[in-house]
Amino acid sequence: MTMLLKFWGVRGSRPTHKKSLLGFGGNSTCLEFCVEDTDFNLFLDGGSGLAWRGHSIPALNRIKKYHFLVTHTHWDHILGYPFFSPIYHEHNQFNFYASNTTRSSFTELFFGLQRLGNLPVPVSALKAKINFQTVLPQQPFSIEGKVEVDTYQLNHQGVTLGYKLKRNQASVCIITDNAPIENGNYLGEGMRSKAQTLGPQVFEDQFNEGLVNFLKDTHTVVFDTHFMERDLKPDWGHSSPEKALNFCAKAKVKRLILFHHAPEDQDSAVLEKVNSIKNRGASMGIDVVPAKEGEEWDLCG
Amino acid sequence: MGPMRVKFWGTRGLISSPRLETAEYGGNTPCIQILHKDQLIMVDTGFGCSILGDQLMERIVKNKESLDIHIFYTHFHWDHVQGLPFFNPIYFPSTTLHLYSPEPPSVTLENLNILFDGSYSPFESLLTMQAKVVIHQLKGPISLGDQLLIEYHNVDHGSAVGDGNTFGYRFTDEKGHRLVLLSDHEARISITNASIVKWAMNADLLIHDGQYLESEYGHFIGWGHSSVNQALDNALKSNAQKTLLTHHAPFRNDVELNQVKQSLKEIHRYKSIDFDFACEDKVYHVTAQTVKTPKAEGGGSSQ
Repeated sequence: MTMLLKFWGVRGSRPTHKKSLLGFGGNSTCLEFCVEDTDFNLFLDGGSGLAWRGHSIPALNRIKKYHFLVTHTHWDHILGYPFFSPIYHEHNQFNFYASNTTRSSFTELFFGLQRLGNLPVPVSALKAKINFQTVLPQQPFSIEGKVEVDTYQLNHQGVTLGYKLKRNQASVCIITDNAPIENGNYLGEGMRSKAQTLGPQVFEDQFNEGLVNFLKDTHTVVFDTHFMERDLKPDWGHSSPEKALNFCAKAKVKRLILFHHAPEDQDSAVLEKVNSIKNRGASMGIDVVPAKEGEEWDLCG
Repeated sequence: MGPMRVKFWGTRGLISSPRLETAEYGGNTPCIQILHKDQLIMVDTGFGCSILGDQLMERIVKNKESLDIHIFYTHFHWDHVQGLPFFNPIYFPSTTLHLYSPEPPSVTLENLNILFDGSYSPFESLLTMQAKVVIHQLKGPISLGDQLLIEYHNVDHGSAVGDGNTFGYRFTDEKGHRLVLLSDHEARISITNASIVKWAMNADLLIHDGQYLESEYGHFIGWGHSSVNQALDNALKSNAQKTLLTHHAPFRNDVELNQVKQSLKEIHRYKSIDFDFACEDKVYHVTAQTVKTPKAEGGGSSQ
């Protein structure tokens, strides 16, 4: 292994707790990447799963670095930040990599979580050193020279970023949240005006080809499959197993992990999603599996 | 219909903790439903409310019912409000949401509206959701359906930071049965607690914050939550018939809660108390069924 992926939260929209869905997990989005030969912690998004992760991290009397890749700022992806205990410890250093929108900056929204009417813990209690780095779509950067990161703007409200991470032979893409583009459902900031300039068909083709190229030859792809194909709601900003597999097939990836399970999906519904494309995936050499809280995946081989 | 009952849809404090290890006592943030006649009454809208909302869909979609839903807020911290955008009835124009707090309507709106902000959500405002939203400021006791009296009282939810008020609620039905809810109350020695104990006197069912263990409480003085011991001491002082502790610490699992319960039952001064930790998805009677014989319902007068 050179890099492992671990799921701390796999649920979309909101965390939810019901006995019938705890098999796959009820926490909202949080992924961790464990990178060989490094001393930092690397996460993607801070849903409720992050709070649970923080519970097992001891307070240390030395500098510890945390890097966070931010897809976007909808509640299910950020509500865990104020409950991640390391952010209250002075020796820790946090780096957030996030996009801004014309409406608001990530910095503003991050500190907005500590809004006094809604949380009795003021910003001044965040003792860790916190740094924010603005990420623009398709402008690669690296995490301490150890992990190469690239991004792609997805079809979701605001400037939602899909991420690609590479470390030696290991590679992974995280595509969440993302709706298939069809019939003018341009959800992302700037997309409508681009479609007007280029013409809708050219824009849609560009978006889809761009996403295939972004995923190309990646080992593992984690994809938003909130809806079954029959239930797709174009304006809700989410995808389906079939749509995910179509992209992965064109990009020749090895593994597709279905992710962002709908909050009402019981364990059986998650399995139904996997089974709906499992055989078609296998016939193209793609292993289709469900994201499950607590599970770890290697990202090469 | 029967006498007043309560159902817990969320029992977890601070943040959701949905895990197999918390399956029994629950992992959703706070939401309590008061079952009285055929009225829909809730206290707080933590994520537990979303599951209640899903269950109301049949009435809204299939039976085409127009629902009046009454929601009483103890306060507006994330864990007590965050489920509101995911409460499905809010997407139907046939729904009327009545939101109550002793705070001025502008404060209630401001603290809830952040959940509907266009950067944190795909919405624009609470007031542009499909349901009709009516914000009420409580200025004293009110009655719902002329048969359920609802009163509030300030509780002690921390003094470390000045972040507004928190309220306890008292529900009294037409038979005089009394439910007192003191979530997010720190039952330390204070004028507020003395006043609360008096106000809560002789509850048939007391629901009390019990987030901390006695051994943990010392680290969290002033944070606005009670230790399980403080909660039970309040139950004793106020002569509660039955007590349910709630607002469980996020990471305390079922096995640990059962151990805490057992060790509390072994403490001599708590031996006379009928108490338990609140379980999600479970309905509790406000009065013990064996003590009072339910009288016939006054048919047809409820909403």
